[in-house]
Amino acid sequence: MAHFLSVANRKGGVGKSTTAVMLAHAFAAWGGMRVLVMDLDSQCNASLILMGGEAWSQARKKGLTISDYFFDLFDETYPEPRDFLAHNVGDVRQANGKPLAISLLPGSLMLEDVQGELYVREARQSKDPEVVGQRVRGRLERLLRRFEQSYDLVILDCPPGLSFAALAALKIAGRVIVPFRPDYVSQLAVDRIALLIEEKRNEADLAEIPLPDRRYACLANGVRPTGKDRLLIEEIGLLHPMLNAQIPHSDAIANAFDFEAQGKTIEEKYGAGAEPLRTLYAEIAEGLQMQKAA
Amino acid sequence: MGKATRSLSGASQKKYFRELIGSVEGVSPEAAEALTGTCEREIAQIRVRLPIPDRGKKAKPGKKGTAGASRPASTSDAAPTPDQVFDPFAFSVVVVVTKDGRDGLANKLKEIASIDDLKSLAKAQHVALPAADLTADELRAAIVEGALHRIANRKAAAS
Repeated sequence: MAHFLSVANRKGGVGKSTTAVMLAHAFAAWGGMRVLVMDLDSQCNASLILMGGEAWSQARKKGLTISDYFFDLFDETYPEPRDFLAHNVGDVRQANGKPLAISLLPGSLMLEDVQGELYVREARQSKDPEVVGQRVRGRLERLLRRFEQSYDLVILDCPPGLSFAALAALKIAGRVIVPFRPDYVSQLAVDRIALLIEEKRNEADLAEIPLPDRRYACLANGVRPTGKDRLLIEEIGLLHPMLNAQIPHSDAIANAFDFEAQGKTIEEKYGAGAEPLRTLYAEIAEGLQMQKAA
Repeated sequence: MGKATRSLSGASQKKYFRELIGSVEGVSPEAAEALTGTCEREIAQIRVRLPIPDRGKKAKPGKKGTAGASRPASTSDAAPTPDQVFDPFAFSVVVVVTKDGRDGLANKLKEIASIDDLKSLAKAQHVALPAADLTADELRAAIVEGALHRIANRKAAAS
């Protein structure tokens, strides 16, 4: 039974897709896990990082993206959902040269449009918008759970917007990682996504949930060694659970997201960034193990 | 006839505490800062024997980047060393006011004697201050209000 890990923040540019990819690499390389990445962001950055532009373009032409998956399986009549998955993706290799066990349900530029079509399709059954919305989300939840028996970890790379797919991903996640940049706007965005994840209306209601009991944890990303960044992280940590691990502002990490046909080990791929990534991996892995034990 | 004494308060008292406690062997810079802060908060005025030993060079100010990194009062006759350069990010006014309340932040700000340093802290941490020229005490009060205002803004944005 897979762990479901969503990477979410309603603010764009905080590093959701890169975090999703880093975690996929880390759990597959160091944890030996079978990892599935579902790219719910119509920018498709996780897909491009993991499979490169050409392979992603092929997946689009063949109708094997997440919007095709949602559309074709919405009524649960398509015979073989695994057709939509790309296997052994990514340019990170094991030490013996073999590919990592990372599969990908590629992203689609059409995902928002398809969700609109699914809403219209479902609206034929009911005139209550709330009921229709719940049904669409419920069906997408089931589709996102479809592969839980075949993987150890399913990583859901969420879009910034509040699509049905994003809400479904937040709903089914056992754990949500909220990357943020240490800046003032990100601080507000973290406050908002936290309410959504915990399904609370305001900060007072959210505060009733002790920090260790929350489903989400914040990840400071692109951290510079300045007092300003340190204080902003501290301020966000007043109200939200914060991972001890941080991703530093680093050229080595930024360069790792360029897809290279020639495979490298994870240490070669991330260079100086491998160490903070390993720290992040260890902390999240420990959290998942504790969750499983509980 | 008794020995000559002199009463100290305010910045001169704090300077005395800082140098006295900082000169005690085995007391870490962090502990020295904490003790200095406590003495300053709880003791309004002291009377010391003259002459006051020159401990200025032995005093151990807090490490840069810790809560005790404030530069000594600008009334100090010694020029600040590189270690004494004020760090406007040494502590977060928002974090302190959230955890320790209005009085907690007010007390913390008393560790900063210089008006320039108080302004520098406010600017660095995006705490709005009135345009008028303010005394150190008025600045501290304005920083407390500004920090509370920042928190209120954040709560309103999230609701």
